[in-house]
Amino acid sequence: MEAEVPAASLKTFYRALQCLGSIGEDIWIEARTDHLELIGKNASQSAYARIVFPAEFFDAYDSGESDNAVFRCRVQAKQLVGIFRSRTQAVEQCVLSIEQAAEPVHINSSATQGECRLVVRLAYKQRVCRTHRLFYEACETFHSTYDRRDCKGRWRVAAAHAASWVAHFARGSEEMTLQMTSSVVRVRSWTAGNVAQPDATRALHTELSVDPADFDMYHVPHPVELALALREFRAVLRYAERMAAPLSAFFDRPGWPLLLEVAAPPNPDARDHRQAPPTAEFVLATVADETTPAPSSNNATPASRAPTQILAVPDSIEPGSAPSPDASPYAHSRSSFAQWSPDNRSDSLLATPASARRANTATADSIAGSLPNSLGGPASQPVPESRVPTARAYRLLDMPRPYAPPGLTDTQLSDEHAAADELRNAPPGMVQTTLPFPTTAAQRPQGDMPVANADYSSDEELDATPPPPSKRMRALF
Amino acid sequence: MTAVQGTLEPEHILFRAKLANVRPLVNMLKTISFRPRARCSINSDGLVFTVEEAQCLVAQVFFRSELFTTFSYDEQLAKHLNNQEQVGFETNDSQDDEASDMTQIVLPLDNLIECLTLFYGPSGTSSGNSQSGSHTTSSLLNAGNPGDLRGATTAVIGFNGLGADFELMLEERGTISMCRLATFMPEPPVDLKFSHVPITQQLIIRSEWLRDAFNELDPTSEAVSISIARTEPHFRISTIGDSGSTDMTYSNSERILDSFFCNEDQENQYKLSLILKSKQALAMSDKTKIRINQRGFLSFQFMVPTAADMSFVNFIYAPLISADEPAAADAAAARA
Repeated sequence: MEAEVPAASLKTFYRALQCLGSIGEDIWIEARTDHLELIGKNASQSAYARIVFPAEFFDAYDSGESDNAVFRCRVQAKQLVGIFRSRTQAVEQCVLSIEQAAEPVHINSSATQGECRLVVRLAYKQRVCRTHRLFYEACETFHSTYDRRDCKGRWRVAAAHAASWVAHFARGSEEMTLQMTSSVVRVRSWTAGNVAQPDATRALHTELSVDPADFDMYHVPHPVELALALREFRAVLRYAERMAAPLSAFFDRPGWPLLLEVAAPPNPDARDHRQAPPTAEFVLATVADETTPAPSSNNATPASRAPTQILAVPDSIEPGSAPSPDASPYAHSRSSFAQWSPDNRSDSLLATPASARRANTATADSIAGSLPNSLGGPASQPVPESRVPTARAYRLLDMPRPYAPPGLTDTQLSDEHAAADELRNAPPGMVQTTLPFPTTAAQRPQGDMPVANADYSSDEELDATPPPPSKRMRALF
Repeated sequence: MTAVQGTLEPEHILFRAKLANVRPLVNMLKTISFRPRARCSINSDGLVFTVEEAQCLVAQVFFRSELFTTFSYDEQLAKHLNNQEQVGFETNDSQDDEASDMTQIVLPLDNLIECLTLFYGPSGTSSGNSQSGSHTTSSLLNAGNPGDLRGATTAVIGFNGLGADFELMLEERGTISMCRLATFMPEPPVDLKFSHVPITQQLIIRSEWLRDAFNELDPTSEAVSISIARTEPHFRISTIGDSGSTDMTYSNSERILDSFFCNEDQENQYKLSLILKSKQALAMSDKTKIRINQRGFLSFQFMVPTAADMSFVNFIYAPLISADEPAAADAAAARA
């Protein structure tokens, strides 16, 4: 793979690397024939970022592979970002290439013999040259399966405006909620609930209301409230602000991830390379509502087991056996978590703000229909008390599932493609291993919400159980 | 240390100098302030402060007598005192007459800097002493700038012979402070004998390029390798660290390397942590002269502008020799 970044676009390239570096520790590079992708995800796998540089962005781009094969590797974000951080004004030429078993580079007696390196070569004027050879690791990349076309709500706003929402949030804020109705957007900061300080009344919270008229485009068919982690959202906003590009958001309901896109429209007046600006998409997990039906694999029929096989990692699941949800090592821990019922603290990380309000109101006042914020159908129903302690599907831990599990190459994937029709019918956010979830009406009569359900079988496909974000949860696992 | 108290009377004074503004002196001392004690050598040409570390780094600051407003050094008295002392010392080799009129004492360097910066105010460091290596200009030493009130401390320095205190009288805007620093007996100096062996490579490079290079050096690496060759690339600095290797190459163009001289191609390695100690001196300098001798010893000579003239800060490094090199035995023998 060889790519030459034009000197004038080095800043752009650096911004993209910086954004990925602030989300996760590693940057995955995927070089395809017509574009270069940089992918990142955070440690708890609740945020995913993908920035695509079309081939026209570069002065010279050669993915070095045949049409079918794709080059994938992973490098440490800190090193890559550090290279581009300094003094890029005087750079005349910047070339990224992959060196594989090249001629040995001798540094005295310690020769770096032909190891695989990602070589970043910056040539300054006056024939001064700086070369960095970074270790990389060839590995599989992953992609988000969520499609923005399936999202019902969307808006687009200028980046500077969006940045001003979170600019004043206090330092300790870890979460934020976006409450979007047709008339107003409320942005609020939250701090994680602390076991030691259940009230957390001393933390500073900020809430502000935004007029939908400030948005370039605003389409929210039914009110929705999303709770998501502030850190990754801030990283996305920072990137959008630096790229001076509008931020588009696509969302559906709590629990479903929030899709964000930052793509500067190509400027026809500028020079050639600016006509191919990078497009960035981000997927941020949101906290699920208790009343939101969690995708349940307890209802898995034999027909749905077939997709499970296909998408499972070939070496960990034998063909022909569909892993039942209970076989997952995490099923037990999840179920114990389900029975645990902490107090209803309104600022608890485990309770969405809406549910907390609802729970509090429900205990104090049986008329839940008088809630000021309308969250759509489910919320206007009185919440049965038994539901509150059990239904704690914490969707923030859901990670964007790869379309293909690691280990499958592209050729394998195309064979299985035909058999995976059921995937198409699944609604967005649903992992392919489960049925299309029943409608909310159908599920309501169901007594207790099975919490130990969220596709544990597919947990094995991906790296590891994501660590729980709050300290309280860590105690359970 | 005896209890002989020196006074500031002109006739008996070994050394007395007046400095209109301590800022240049302070800035230069701060570049070598990574060790607590410095050896101060005084003779009629000026002052030389020397620090050494780990027996393989020697750093020197040369402060010429012309930079002082008044400078009086009594050579006869110095020779007399040195002859008296030599009875108890083992005589070194190369004992010329020129060396015997030099007064050598060891001063606590960080205390000296603290005293000199007494009037700098609550912020501590002067505005001119910047910690960042890159993008600093060397117009920090504005010794003669009348508009610069901060650090406009006048100092009178005096020393009256081995055993006496090193005396400072500082004055700023009417406030006078007298400081006395305890001096220590000098130990035999660590002499890396840089000039004893012919110099095979020399180049003068603009400091800003070297600053960028130092900022890029991978701090996880233990050694930095400097190689100068007669072929392209002429000058290369590289490190190998945890995440891969980094190297910077410079070609022989006039804009970068002011002068270039190379007798033989050599590549030597030096301990990175020691090389980075010269970052502060590099930040203050305009140009750097890099010299490497036949045995691989490296000398950085930083040209620092002071008061319309140049002062020098000199860093000498001993190379790292890996055990399996055949030249290791020779070099070790030669050094001993």
